[in-house]
Parts: sequence; C-alpha cells; structure tokens
Amino acid sequence: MVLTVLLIEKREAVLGRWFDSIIKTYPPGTSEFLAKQKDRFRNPVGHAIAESIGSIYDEIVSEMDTGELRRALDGIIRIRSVQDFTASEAVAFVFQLKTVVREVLGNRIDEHEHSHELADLESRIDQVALLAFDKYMECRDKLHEVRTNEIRRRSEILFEKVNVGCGVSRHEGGPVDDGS
Amino acid sequence: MSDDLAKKEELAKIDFKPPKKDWTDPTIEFRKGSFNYGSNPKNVEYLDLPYAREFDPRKEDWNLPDNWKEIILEGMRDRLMKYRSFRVFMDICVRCGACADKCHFFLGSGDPKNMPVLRAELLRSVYRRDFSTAGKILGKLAGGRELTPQVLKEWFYYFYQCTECRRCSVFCPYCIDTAEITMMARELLHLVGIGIDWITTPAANCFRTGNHLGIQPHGFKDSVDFAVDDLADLTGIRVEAPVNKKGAEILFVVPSADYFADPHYYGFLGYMALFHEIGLDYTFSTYASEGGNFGLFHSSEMMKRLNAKIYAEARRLGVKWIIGGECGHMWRVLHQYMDTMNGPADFLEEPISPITGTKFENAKCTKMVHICEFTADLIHNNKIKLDPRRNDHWTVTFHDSCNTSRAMGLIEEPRYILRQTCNKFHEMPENTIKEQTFCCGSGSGLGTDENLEMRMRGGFPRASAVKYVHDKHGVNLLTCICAIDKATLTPLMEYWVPEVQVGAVHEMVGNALVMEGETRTTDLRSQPYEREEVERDD
Repeated sequence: MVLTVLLIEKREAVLGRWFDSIIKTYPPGTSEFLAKQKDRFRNPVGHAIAESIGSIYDEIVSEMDTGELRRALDGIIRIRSVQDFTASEAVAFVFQLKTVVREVLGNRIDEHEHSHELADLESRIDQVALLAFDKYMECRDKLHEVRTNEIRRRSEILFEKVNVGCGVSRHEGGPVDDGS
Repeated sequence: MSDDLAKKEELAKIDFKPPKKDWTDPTIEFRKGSFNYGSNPKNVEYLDLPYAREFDPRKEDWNLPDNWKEIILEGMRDRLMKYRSFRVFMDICVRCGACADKCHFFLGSGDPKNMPVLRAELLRSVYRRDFSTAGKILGKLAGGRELTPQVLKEWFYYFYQCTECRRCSVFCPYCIDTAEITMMARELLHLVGIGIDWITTPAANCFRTGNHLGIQPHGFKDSVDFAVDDLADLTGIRVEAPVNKKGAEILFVVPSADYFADPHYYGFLGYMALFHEIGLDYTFSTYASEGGNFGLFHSSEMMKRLNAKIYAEARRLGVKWIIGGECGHMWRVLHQYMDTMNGPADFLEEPISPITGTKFENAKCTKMVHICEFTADLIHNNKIKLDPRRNDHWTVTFHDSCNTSRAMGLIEEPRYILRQTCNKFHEMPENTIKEQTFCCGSGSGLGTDENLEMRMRGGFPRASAVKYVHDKHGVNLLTCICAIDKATLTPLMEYWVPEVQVGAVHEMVGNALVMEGETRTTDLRSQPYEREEVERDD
C-alpha cells in the first residue's frame, strides 16, 4: 500500500498522538485539561491546537498549499509565540510529527517499499518546519509592532492637539480655518 | 563544530516535556514580557508609603527591610482580624477545582499556578503554617509553607497575573471572591515597599491632580475645549461643555482616557453630543477628572483616598447627583465600596432623570448613575432621535467589562443601546459574555507595555470568542464600556484578530444621534457614512 493511503487511513490516530505530544509540552495539570475539555471557548488553546494540526496534516498528505499551511500554522504558532516557550520549543512540534508517524504506522511501514515516500514525507515536514520558523518570527515582529503602536496611540491625540494649536486642522490635515 | 552540540542519536531523544515541579517550589523566572516594573520610589514617597526604593524584580536582592517577615505576618494578622471575608476565604476552600479552568490567564498561559485555587494557595499555605493550629503543629503535612523571600517573589509574580476580574468567583460554590485574596496579597506586598509602577504612579498623579495622568486643571479644560471644537467640525454644532460649574444639576465623571486616548475619545464626543441634544444641565470637574481608581489595585486605604474626590467635588459644586461614564473598575469601587467607604452621600438627591422623570432607585445610596442606564432610559422613553444606518459600516459585538457585568450587574442596558443604534449587532458565545465574560487580560494595573506577552496570553480567551464572531458574522467592531478595555483590547485585537477595531458604546450613540441643525457627512472618526442615502433621506 502506498504511504499516502496509509497516512490518510490513520489520520485520526496520527493526529491524536500528535496532539498528545504537543500538550505534553505544558505542565501536567494543564495538559490533562487541554485534552479533556472539549468546549472550544472553555479551552481555546486546546481547540486551536487540534484545529491547526488537522489542517497542517491534511496539507502534508495532499497539496502542500503554502497559503493554507501558513493559515493553519498561524493558529498554533501565534499562541506559542507568546507563551513561555523559547523559539525552538515553540516550533518543535512540527518535527515531532516524524516520530509520531513512525509510532502510529509501526510495522506497516516497509523501509524498502516506502523509502522514497518516507523521504518525501520527511522533506515535507521539514518544509512545514521552515514555514513555522517564518510564522514564529512574524508573530514576534507583530508583538513588537503592537507594543510600539500602543505607545504611539497613548499620545496621538495629544500631538494632534499640539498641531491644532499650530494651525493644522485635525480633520483636513491643512491649516485651521479660524473664521477670519 | 562545537563539542557542545548534541550527537545525532541524542537529538532523537529530546524530551519535550517540562520538568516535573512540586507546586510548593516557589522558584520564579522573571522573563521579559511577562512581568511589570517595580514602583518609582519618588511616587511611593509621594503617597507616604513605606520602604520606597529602587526595585527591579529580575535582581536577586530585592533590598527588603530586615524585619520584612515580621511586617508581612503582622500585616496578615491585622487583615485577618479586620476582614472576616479574608479569614473565611483562607479557611473555607475545599479545593473542588470549580474555579481551576475559569481564569483567562490559566487558559491562555497554561501555567497551573494561574488556576485561581492554586494562586490563592500560594497565600493560603503561609496562612496555614503561621495562623492555623494544624499548620503550626504539622507544617508541610498540613499544607503549610514557610514565608521566604522566594515566596514573596512568587506572590509578586502571580498576584500581578490576576486582573481581579472575579470570573472564577462566579463558579465557586462557596462564593470565594478571589479578587479579594489578590487584593490582600498586594496590600501585604506594599507593606514592604513592593508594588508596580503602573499602579503607584497613576495613584500618585490622581492624588495630586485628580486623574491618573497628572493632567492639571487648565490641561483638562483645554482637552474639553479641543473636543468641543472637534465636535463642531464634525457636526456643525458647537456644544457647551461646562467645567467646574457651580449649581449644575449633575456632575459628570469620566475616566481620563476618554478625553485624550484613542478610541475612548470618540465615546467622549458621543457623550457631549448627547448631553447637548437633550439640554442636560451638567458639569465636569477638574479635580474629579478621573473615574478610574487605581487605588483599588493597591489597597483599601488608597482606594478610599482617591475615591473621596468624587463626593468632595459633588459637594463643592453643589450638584444634585452624579452620572459616571464608560469606566470599568470605577463601577466596582462605586457599587461595592463607595457608599460605606466615603458615604453616606446624604447631601445629594436621589437621582431622577430631568428628561424622562425616571427615578434611578438602584442609585438611591450612592447617588451615582451609569451613563448606559441614563441613555437606555432616554431611548426607552423616545427622547432622542436615532438613525442606526449611520453605523452600518460597523458590524458590532459587545464585550462585557468584568466590573460592570460581575460587580454591578449592568448587562442589558448597553445591549439595548447597541440594538437601537446599530443595525448589525451579534453576540459572542454565551459562555464568554455577561456574568461569564472573559477579561481583557490587562485590568487591575497590568496593562503595561513591558507586560505585553502576559497580556496577550491572558486576553486570548476573549480574542478567541471575538475571532469566532468575526469569522461567522463579519464583526469588525468590538464595543465596550471600560477605559482599560478600550486601551488594551485594541492591541489585543491587533495581535489576535487584526480585522476588528475597538469602540465605545457612546461612540455608536454619537454616530446615530440625529442632532437638530447638524451638518454631518462622517461618523465621529471622520469616516464617511457607508450609504449616501442616509444623508439624502434626512
């Protein structure tokens, strides 16, 4: 059987084990909660992880659509970028998929028969990992931008007042019409 | 290549699981982005508080006074005697776990010490060891922990990761108010000069000039005049906005961000347009120029000192009663503490709307009415003309501020206003709104830029619900009635749901309000209305 068919057949098992390996990067009390609570609003992190890895997996076994992968990675990396993880810890879950696949498929993987497909799969996972690095950096950049904008917003209207005092209209960007 | 690099076979054995750690271990790593800077000693002194000193949480030595332990335990003893609620909260918890998964910081960070039960246990364990008989005899076996400098650091870290939002309290079968546990912990820390600057400096400013920013009377007057000019540009109508007018019927108190920060300011324009249209006899005060009260996040004494100005100004100006603007914790202070703390306000009259004749019996004691109660009553009695099509460029949802929803039960009035002023309004999921609302993640003085990562974690549950209604209904405006929300939901949306902006309920009122003699083509943000026929129909 070709590997892709096996991967599609075992989708739920792979995703289940992948999900478990991700939530184990949280402290024990937390990982239990992330696994058990099914209401997406009572467990937004668990929900986001499950949803994201489902989409990532579907792309890996099919088209590898970059846009779709970026969207899917965003769901999980945006969270891990602001949690207590280092950069490598935040993206390591992508590499874990390699181990998970081997664990789930076990002896159904024939190293000879599937050697090319396995190499292709692992290369796809590596590509996703690269996208994950990009996404992590994008999120961290965004965080700095958010911080700068917040500081700017605090004084924006004060500056506008100063400008109005100097004859610049707030609404038109031109000199204030003082009616004279 | 360096010898330090892992070998190939070692790489395959990386354990991604965090090390197992006993919760009683108080070791903390102060990581950049997840804690607040210590208080500026100048302002600690200004407020006559003890042990003013430079204080950097990342440094090993916090320069604690020699007898710090004695001070903390004595402070704890005093508070256990003074507040029966504190003693009950220390004793009564059965650790059922109902609160455990209700905290937005736990949900967003995954840190078990942000489970409210465990966060409270950080304090309770010290109480147990030093104040309970079982703990005194059995120590650790009875869940007791010795108070050490490390425990103090842990308190500082985690009790400044609680926004005092009280969501967990809603689910507690024993009604333990976890916010009050946090308040006690912060009070104890202040006894040895440990606090955060974003609380101490605004409190000092407020004590000096009446508002958190330290804006002086002429600066306040300038801000109001600027807004009057702005509103004239936008509507063609020059409104009156009296400041310190003696004998006015009503004193109007707003959070200071309303008159200088974006997007609060558009709500401020909305208030002024509304009051003009109904001909309200009101005044601002240059000293009661702040509804917010960072004293609440500091200590009961500080809260009382800062709150006193509202009644003092009401008395000085000779008003009959007070209206309060879109502020969050002002309403917790007011609804839960002001009457007994700075009252009774028996020199004021029971509030009656001069426009509708409605008696606000709920404000019989405090004599202070929420702007949303006041406006909802105007709309209900058909006293103002509204054209909700002017808000058609917004698809709106409403974030219940923790304090107005949970601390005063103001649930329906803002929704009623939004439904009358906007055609497109959608609620977020039921378990994320009203009494169960998720905090913005930045309340109780935690909204600093140095603490941004922690705020993004804490705000994630709220953002996740906003994203849901954005994806489902195209929501592009998150309205709220709290100044801290408006300031901090804005960056929260920018990070999690950038398509959604933040606005005030009274911005929607100001947009929809049809004013006599107006010449309007834009909303209060100077954005053109979506449909030209709105203007033509008029």
